Amino acid sequence: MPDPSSGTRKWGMVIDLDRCNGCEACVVACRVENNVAVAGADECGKGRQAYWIRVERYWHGEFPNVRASFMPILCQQCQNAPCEPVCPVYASYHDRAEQVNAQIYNRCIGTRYCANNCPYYVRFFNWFDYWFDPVVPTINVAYTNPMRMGLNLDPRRNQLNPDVTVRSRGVMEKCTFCIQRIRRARLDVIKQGGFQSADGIEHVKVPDGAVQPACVQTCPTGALVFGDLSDPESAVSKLATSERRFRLLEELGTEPVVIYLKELRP
Amino acid sequence: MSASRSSVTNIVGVFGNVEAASQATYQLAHSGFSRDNMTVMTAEPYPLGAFATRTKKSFIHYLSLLGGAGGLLTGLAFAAGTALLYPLPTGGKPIVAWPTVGVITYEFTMLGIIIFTTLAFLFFARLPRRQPGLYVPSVTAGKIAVVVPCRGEERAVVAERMLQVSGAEEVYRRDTPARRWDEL
Amino acid sequence: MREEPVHISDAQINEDLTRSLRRPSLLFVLVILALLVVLGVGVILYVYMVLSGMGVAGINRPVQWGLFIASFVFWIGLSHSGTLISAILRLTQAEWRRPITRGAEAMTVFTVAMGALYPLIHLGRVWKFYYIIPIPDGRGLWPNFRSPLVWDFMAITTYLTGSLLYLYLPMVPDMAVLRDRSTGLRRQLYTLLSLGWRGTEQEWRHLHRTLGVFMVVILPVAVSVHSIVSWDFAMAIAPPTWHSTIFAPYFVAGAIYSGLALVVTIMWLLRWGFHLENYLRADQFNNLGKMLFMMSIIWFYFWFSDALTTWYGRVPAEFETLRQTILGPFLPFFVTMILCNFVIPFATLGFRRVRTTAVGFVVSLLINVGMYCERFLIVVPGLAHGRLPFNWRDYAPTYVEIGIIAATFAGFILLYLLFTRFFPAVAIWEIKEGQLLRSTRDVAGVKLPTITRTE
Repeated sequence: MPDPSSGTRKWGMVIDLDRCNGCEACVVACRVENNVAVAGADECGKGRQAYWIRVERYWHGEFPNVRASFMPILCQQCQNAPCEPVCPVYASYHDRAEQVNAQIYNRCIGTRYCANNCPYYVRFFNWFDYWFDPVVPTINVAYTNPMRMGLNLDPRRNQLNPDVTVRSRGVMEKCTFCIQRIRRARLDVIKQGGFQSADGIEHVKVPDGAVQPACVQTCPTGALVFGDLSDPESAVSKLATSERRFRLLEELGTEPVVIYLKELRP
Repeated sequence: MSASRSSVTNIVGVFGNVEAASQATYQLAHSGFSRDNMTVMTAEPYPLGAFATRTKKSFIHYLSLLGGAGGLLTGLAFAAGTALLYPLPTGGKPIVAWPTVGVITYEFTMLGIIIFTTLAFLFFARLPRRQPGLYVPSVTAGKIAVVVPCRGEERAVVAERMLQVSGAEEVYRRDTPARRWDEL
Repeated sequence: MREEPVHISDAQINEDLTRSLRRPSLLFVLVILALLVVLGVGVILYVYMVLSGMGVAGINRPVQWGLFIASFVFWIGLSHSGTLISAILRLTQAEWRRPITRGAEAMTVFTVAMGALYPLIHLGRVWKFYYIIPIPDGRGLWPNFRSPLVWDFMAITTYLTGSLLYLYLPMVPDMAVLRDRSTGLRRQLYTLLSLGWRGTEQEWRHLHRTLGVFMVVILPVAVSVHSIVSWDFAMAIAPPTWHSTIFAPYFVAGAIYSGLALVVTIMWLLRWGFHLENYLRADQFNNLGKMLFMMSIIWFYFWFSDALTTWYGRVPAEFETLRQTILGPFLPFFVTMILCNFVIPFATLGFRRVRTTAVGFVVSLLINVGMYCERFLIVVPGLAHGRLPFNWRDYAPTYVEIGIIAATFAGFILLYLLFTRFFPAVAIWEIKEGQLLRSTRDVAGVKLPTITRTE
């Protein structure tokens, strides 16, 4: 448990399934914020689509009395993450300061072991260089031919978020809890003069609600709430004590910090 | 030992069967030829005592143990040491996780044993050698060669005769530079 | 096949066992060329995969490991028995081992070599493969020794080193035989490899001690390698049916089984190809067949123990994966596995007439067909049908995977054929030593072949 007096946080999220209507606005927002590649219809058909947050849809009952239920699933940022120790090169490790499950793209060699060992299926492999070559699959000339590196005219490049890395082929990627936004919020506090320590940026205290990942910011029904679970006064901590709380596949002992709320109906 | 620095005369006897060769070595030993200096070359290993020659005990397995110890320490240094050098937490597990250190240490220990055993073999058997030294190529075709180093003409003649009497198919002399006997 | 041991002179042994090194037949050359074509196609497909992306293979999400990893397990499994059987039989001084050891050890080296390619083949960024080698990077970061993949890397390195030396060291005296009987370039090669071996008593004594250490050390290394391969799966908690405590012994048993089957296959081919009827006799095939028979029972016992626990326990995710394996889309593979790994060997290998005839050869091939299915069924179903059904997806390999895998099969056969072209596939000095210890004893008028043993 991080020390509450320092700025070290245990970021967490509450997802209220009773509020989620399955609109998938979070999926779109996440894709735009985090430069998640569009794989194309063919690749989707082969199961290669990437979405750092997805809305799983399950049907209940028999036709015509059917009811759909929706479940947004993103990286659960497990405190005992099964994906971390299996990585041979520390591409997947636990960031002590932010208490999130970090993925270092340029260290990743693409064994895909982490994705196999993720019970939530929230790790996505870059099967091709989606951003550099619109025709998939072809031999990628962007890397083999240095002349084309600067001449890539794919217009989708203009849509990229400069705060987030564009992942090359062969590496694993996943939800980061929009760590670029967390860092931005800390920098904002420093800019306003609220922090005078040389301890490092991780110790900057960020006010509750100052950080919102793209999915949370976009959710029209307010089903997603993000904040500091180590601060008992934060909105997310208060929601997390709800009677409706449960965590996904909790029996595996992964200690996720994403908490779902769902009223049990008979 | 340092009497004849320049060269030494070796009497080589090539035998067609093992009984004759064995007999020859025992007779030579009886007449005062050193058991340590005679050399027998064969195409297949014979049980100890088949010839009168004395071989040194093999101490290779002690070096294997040494290699194992070295491997063990290397394994510990890699598995536990490198984790401490750059501690990164993963999966809520300890930085030095002893079960995994055990696995890695085990493999390094085995690798150490394997490498050291091989090196010890090469060292003790004095391999690889650039020049084959005194060698009889027909050995690999099933012959047995007995090499008797002799100091002085008198001894050489004695050895020659004894080899012939024992039934050597071929007896000849070969001079080699005098080094240590066992380096023949 | 009823063959009594015959006494062969040393010169005849040299002649018989180096026959394979002479001018190859036209058929042999054609086979080599065909294998080179398959290998070449595989290399081209691999380069294509590296340049374009892993997506050209059939793997997807959630089946991130497919046939590549199944083949990896298969090859490492095959490698198991060569060294193991050679070491066990040497340790127990089983005389019938003598014509088998060399061929089995060579099989181990080449199958490990092929298996060791797969972790590289399946890497997303193979050009960064050296990140896994234990050297620090620019910031002083070492590989994560907690990852089973690093254990694997270390285990395979140890095993490959060990089995290569275990093949080479007993071959040194044979290199001397070839050195004395060859000319030209070949002579230079064998002179280099024979290390100046002369066959003195002292050299033999050191060699015996060295092999004594090796056969004791190589056994636990072989067991650890396949245990660690199993832990690549068993240490993962997410895919149902992977996280099983029985995996290590189950994999080791399966590995011994498939490796033994390949030893039998290879021994038949050596016997036929190089006319080694006087060396690879009924005795060898009879004993190997009995071992295969025993392993088929042990394999089934392990598989059944694992499956029964899952079936009876009915833990939803695990049970569903097992149900998909047995009754679902994987049914054909399951049936093949059970037939080839248990039913057929169990029903046939009990008979001496099967073990010592070409039927035994066919059964040994079938066993490895079954074992390949088994490896596939270990890797894929647990990934394809995991805990969140929304993500279920089946898997079919593409031509790229199949081409690359075919290339490794071709590569193995090619390496083995070239090995028999340059090195005696049966240990010459071990056969000679064996003859030394063999005699015929007259017991009440019956001539009994007798083995003398030291100690």
